[in-house]
Amino acid sequence: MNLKEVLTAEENQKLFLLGNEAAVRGALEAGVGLASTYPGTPSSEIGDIFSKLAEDAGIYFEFSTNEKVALEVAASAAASGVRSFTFMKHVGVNVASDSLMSAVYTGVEAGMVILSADDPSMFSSQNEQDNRHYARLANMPMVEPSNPEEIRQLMGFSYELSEQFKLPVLMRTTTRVSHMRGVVETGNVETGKTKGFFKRDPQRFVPVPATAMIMHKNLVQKWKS
Amino acid sequence: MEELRKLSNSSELNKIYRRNGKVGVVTSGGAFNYVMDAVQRNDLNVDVFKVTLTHPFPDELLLEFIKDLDSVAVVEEVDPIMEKEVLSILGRNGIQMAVHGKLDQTLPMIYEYTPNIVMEMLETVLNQKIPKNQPSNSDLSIPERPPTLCPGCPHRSVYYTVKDAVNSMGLNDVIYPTDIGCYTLGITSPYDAADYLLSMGSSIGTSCGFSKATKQNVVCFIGDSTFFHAGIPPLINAVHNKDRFVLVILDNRTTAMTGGQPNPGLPVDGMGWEAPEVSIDAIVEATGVKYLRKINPMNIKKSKETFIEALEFDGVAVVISQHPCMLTKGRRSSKAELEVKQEKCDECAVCLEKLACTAIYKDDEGKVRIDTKLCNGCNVCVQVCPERAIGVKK
Amino acid sequence: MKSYSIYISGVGGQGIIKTSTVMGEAAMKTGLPVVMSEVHGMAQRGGSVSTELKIGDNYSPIIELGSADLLISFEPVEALRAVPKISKESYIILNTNPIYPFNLNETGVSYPDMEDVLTELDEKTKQVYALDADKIARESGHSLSMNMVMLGAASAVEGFPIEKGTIINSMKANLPEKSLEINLKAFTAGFSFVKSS
Repeated sequence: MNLKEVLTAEENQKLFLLGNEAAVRGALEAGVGLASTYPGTPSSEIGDIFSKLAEDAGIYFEFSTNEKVALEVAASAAASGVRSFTFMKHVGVNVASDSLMSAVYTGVEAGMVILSADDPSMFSSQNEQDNRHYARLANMPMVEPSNPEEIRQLMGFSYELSEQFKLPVLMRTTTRVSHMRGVVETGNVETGKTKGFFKRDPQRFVPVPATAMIMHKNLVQKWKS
Repeated sequence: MEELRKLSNSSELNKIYRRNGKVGVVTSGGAFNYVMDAVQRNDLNVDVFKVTLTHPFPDELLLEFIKDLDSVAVVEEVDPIMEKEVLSILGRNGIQMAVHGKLDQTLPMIYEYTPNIVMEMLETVLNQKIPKNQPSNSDLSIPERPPTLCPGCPHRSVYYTVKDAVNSMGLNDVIYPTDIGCYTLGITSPYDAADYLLSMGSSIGTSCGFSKATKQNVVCFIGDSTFFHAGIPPLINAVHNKDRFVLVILDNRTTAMTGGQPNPGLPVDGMGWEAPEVSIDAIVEATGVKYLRKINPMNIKKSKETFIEALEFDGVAVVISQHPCMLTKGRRSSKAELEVKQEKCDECAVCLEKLACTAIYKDDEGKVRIDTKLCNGCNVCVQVCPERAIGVKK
Repeated sequence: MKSYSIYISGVGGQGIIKTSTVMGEAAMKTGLPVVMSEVHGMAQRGGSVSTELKIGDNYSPIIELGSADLLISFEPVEALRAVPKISKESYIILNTNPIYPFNLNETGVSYPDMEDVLTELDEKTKQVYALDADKIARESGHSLSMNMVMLGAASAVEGFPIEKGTIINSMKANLPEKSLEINLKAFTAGFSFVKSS
């Protein structure tokens, strides 16, 4: 398979994709307009593929200087109405976590998906921390795919969910899922909106003590059992 | 607005597979695959609850799932997160039921699962044997094959030279904080150049601490991409707080370990477009560092002189070692093949034991040889050999 | 169909992932369900590398211990390392060309004799096809086609579930055009080696 097919394959094709390749396909099908990352195994191939396809897909992709910047780039895009995707290895989320906590308070306008590629048994990492804790720490919905086809499908689902609740969604994979190859049945690629408009709303986007009190209350409302 | 918890309870993503079980398994992610393979292949009477939208956890679906079960096992990687959810839901609903998983030690607390770990767990909770092939092990002893620095890697020359400089100065107990990248491979002998590591950028931050809390010499290593990522604030900290250590920036013009992605020090961006190069030198200078030198690490003599100077400097000394990664810049700098001139070689083994390039080996007769298939022609071994026994094959 | 499991082992840089992908895509084109597991990153810096491929109705690509139908090992010691995955019913394609670990001098464990390796593998499996795939690759036109020699040999093993023609089509779709001729020659040489054994 030529890697370009991750973008060019038409609907209802069968492709033999790596989990990380399926993440790109799923994002393209969901109409992502901006993607950002700092490379880290086992998530690195996602960025490598965006780097090769983004221009043809007509969307924006960057290697940010670190994961915190990557998350901030994605968060402000989503706040401006552009669907965004940021992805990193599990320990990268530690770097991004300061802004992540606030991004869940402020919420998003267009969908935002954060993919955390965890590394149980530490194939290429300094620890095997379980980033599902971050979903609980930040009060953020989370999905856990089991194979490449599920990654593709869950990208679409996660953007819908993100926009319905105006919250970023965490997708947690593990090395064995990110680096699993399986048969993926393609959907249709949507051309993503790459320019939005940021509508000023400090009550919503500027968490200082007075506004953050309300933001936290609103956030918990979305979770009420 | 529909609440998230309701959505999780009604989502088709959270799916129950009924198989007439008295035992049920709650599972997610990659672990689900092992469970489903074991259950289907062996036709086990085990119900499976695959949770995909795992937060918020679908509490009502769980209650539905366990309605007719006697016990439940939770299979997840790595921490017992869903297991604690299940326990809390059962507790809140006053339900007495055995919950197997990590907390009762039915499953290991750490590391990834395997098909065999999951099958053994099912044998325990079902109290039933599952037919398995008996694996054998090799009766021969097998040498390990850990990952290592590539032949011609500039990091190897840096480690060799720093060690040589430290030894020639007679310094003892030098601390080598390292960082995240290929250069963590400096942990192996003979380099032994990785003493402390916490996270991206920690080489510099921890050097600040060592500088204050010990009287030992400190030489720390960080790559170009990692320097941009998290190395700048701790460098500013070091200068402002008057620390004393040597910082070696291993600028190999790429993010090598993850497959060679560009970083801000390169004239190309993630879109593949031309981009302004951000200068590491200018950043370092702007922090007010008083000792800044650039070296070509493949020049052993000059590099050693620089490291000696840097080690003598009273303050933060920065050495930028610039040479492109062998993997991304293409192999072999020259067509000439190197060889060991056997008549000159006295088998001192400096090349084998101190430089330890993977392209140099001892053959069956104990002669030192160069594997020309692996050799990148970097010429570092030529400079290192005390007998000048390594040269171009004629 | 009965599930068919292939374990592929070797050293980083030998073209193991590409070989596995060619097989997996061929299985998909045949209409067979297929899943595969790859190792990327740190393990590739000259370390041991393996991929696992399962054809048939499976969720996980990870092969249960003692269950690989076929072991394709690109290096002798890496075949020994894979022994826990194989059984008396397994076939092995073995490249007899050793790559010595860089730290062999310090580990105190010596590299085993090829004869001992072959005896050991023979005892543990149904049949071992041992070939100097590097040499065959050079004879086919380029040493880098070694992985296609191994693939050709694997395709000729009894019970291998994918047609030779489908594999060749998958090679055409996955390999650079300029090296295709050499790779096809290497594949055929590997195939013939096993067929004529």
